[in-house]
Amino acid sequence: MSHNFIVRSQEALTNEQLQSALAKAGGGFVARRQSAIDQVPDFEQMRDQAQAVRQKSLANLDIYLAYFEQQVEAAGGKVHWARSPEDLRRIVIGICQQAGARTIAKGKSMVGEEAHLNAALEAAGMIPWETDLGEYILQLAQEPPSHIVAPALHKTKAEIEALFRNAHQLGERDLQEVKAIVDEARDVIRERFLTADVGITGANMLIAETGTAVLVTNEGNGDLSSCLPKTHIITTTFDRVVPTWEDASKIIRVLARSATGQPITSYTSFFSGPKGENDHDGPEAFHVVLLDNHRSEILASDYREMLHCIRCGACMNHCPVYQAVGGHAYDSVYPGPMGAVLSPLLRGYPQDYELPNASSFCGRCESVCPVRIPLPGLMRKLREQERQVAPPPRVNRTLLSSFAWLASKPALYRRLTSAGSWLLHKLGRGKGRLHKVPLARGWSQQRELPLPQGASFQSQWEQHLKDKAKKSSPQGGGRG
Amino acid sequence: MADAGFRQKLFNRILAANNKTALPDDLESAFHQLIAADKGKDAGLAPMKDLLASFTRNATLSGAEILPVQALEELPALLASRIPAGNSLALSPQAELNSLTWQTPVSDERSAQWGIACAELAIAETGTLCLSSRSVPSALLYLVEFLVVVIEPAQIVARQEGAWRSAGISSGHRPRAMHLITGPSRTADVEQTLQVGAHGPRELLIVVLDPSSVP
Repeated sequence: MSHNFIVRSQEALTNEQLQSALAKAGGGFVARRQSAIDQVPDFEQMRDQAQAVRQKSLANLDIYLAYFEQQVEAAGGKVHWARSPEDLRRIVIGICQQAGARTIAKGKSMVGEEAHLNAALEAAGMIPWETDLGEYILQLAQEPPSHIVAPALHKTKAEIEALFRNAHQLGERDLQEVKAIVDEARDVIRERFLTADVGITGANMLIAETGTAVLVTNEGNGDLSSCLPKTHIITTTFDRVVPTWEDASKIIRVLARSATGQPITSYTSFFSGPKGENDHDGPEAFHVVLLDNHRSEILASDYREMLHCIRCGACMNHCPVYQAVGGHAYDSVYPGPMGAVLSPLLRGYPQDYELPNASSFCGRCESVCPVRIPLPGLMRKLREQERQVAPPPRVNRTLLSSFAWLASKPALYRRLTSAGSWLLHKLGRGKGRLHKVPLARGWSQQRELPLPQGASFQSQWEQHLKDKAKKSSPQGGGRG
Repeated sequence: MADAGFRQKLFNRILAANNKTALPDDLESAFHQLIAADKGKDAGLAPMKDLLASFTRNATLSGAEILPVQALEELPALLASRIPAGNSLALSPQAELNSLTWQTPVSDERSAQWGIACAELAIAETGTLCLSSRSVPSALLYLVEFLVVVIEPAQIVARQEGAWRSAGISSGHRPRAMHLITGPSRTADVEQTLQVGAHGPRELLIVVLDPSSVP
């Protein structure tokens, strides 16, 4: 499939199965978030607090990160540093091999997806078992996630049922109800938690104070993956650090409300090191693998605020472009508005510069972002950068510079636009709209082009001023 | 190791991005100085009056069931009336629970359908239970299908910040795992349809001991 956003989004728009899945998921996220916010009197204050935590965390990230590492080691764990996705894969495989691992229970980790960890584990002769239901569905389908919170959002129930029938040889059974599908996954995966040699999860946050990783989930698979196997590996990025537990609470308060519309998820767990003398259970080894993959460059750039992102997915849930084409059109682990900013910065593929253009700049993403990231502003900056890296085609540049020249000549501009309005008005033959627009058939297939209803605003305004002057003049005054 | 070299490079980049040149010599006091302003403070949000009522309302909204009980001794009979024949119960190794005489067969969390534990704290703002690996085996909380958790009204705090303070979380007291549990497990991964009962418990029953003892 093409890596070009325009080609991919055209394919998405004509993919009936995808459109049906998107329609079903559709407004659910938006309505649930709104209702969660309506239930608390101080959500805006919660957003301010969460934004302040992200700001101060980055402002002294050097100290917090060094302290985090020291505390993980004090708790008996180990921190690893990965410059690139290749480094992360090498480090994780090394830990698994040292543990003599054959099977791995995996919780959802977007950083694991970013580094394509599963394929590497398989190539190293290990069996990674995805345990989050959405990720498990995608592992069966051999597809990447299309949403950062609901990875299998693009799959219909019928597709999931077919995948399950193919993967699980369980004979005749009824999988019509969602409950039957969820129960079957529960039964199949339970044995895997109990037998896996290593558990790998992501982390939503890291707490410097105690060297703690915070994991926010609903299914319970992340906790089972982290407490049953003998080794727990956390794959995340260094910029997730917050100073204290109180600071973590500020993020937790806005995270689930913005993501799924819950006041808090079913499970929020805080993991600090391996099992100690006073703990009833837990892994014997605890590893935190921190990926950079250009984030340290983002920290030093004009895009620093992108590192405030807490991965709630509200921006994509509210984005008219994402709603229409889904996540795969973005060809990245990170879709939607946050992905349109992050993907070019993390990967810098030439085609990534199309992503910041995949926006109507309606501003909903910024208005719902729980930490108030100015996403349209960042996309605009990337568009400027795109002009420097890959200048637009000559015809676009010529058109734009002609327009710029014309716009600086008000008299000529006015004369030409009035002539244009008059012509378009005539073209409409009094109906005021066009059914077919030459050179824009694709656009006019679904809609009509409204036409100017007469003179331009400026000439109407001039006429209005003239009329007013006439009325208030002594000759015309008596008629008012 | 190869990643040790990158560690230094990464710190240099972070320092440069923050207009600094080196980490402080005394990391411990530099860290504590930075966090002093906000550490130990309340949430700074709307105050909550009736903690038990808020906890009960929010826990119920999350899908948990609340069961008020006068004394712990009533629990074995109450649970026996709910637990079907053939099911067994996993007990958290807490003295309060192990001193009772259970009428249900007891087994470990890997084979039991039911599990019971006493919470360390509860949080009113979200109807959340707070349990650590120091008091409860983590696996028990997630492996059983029906989880019963006991709390006393005096253990309810208004918000998370208060829970961290009451639990005394610090580098000196750092349980391997601190679990916040709110309602039963759930998933919406099939067509965004909410289904309660994913990998963790299908039901969460919160036993409130002696509700009249509100502090």
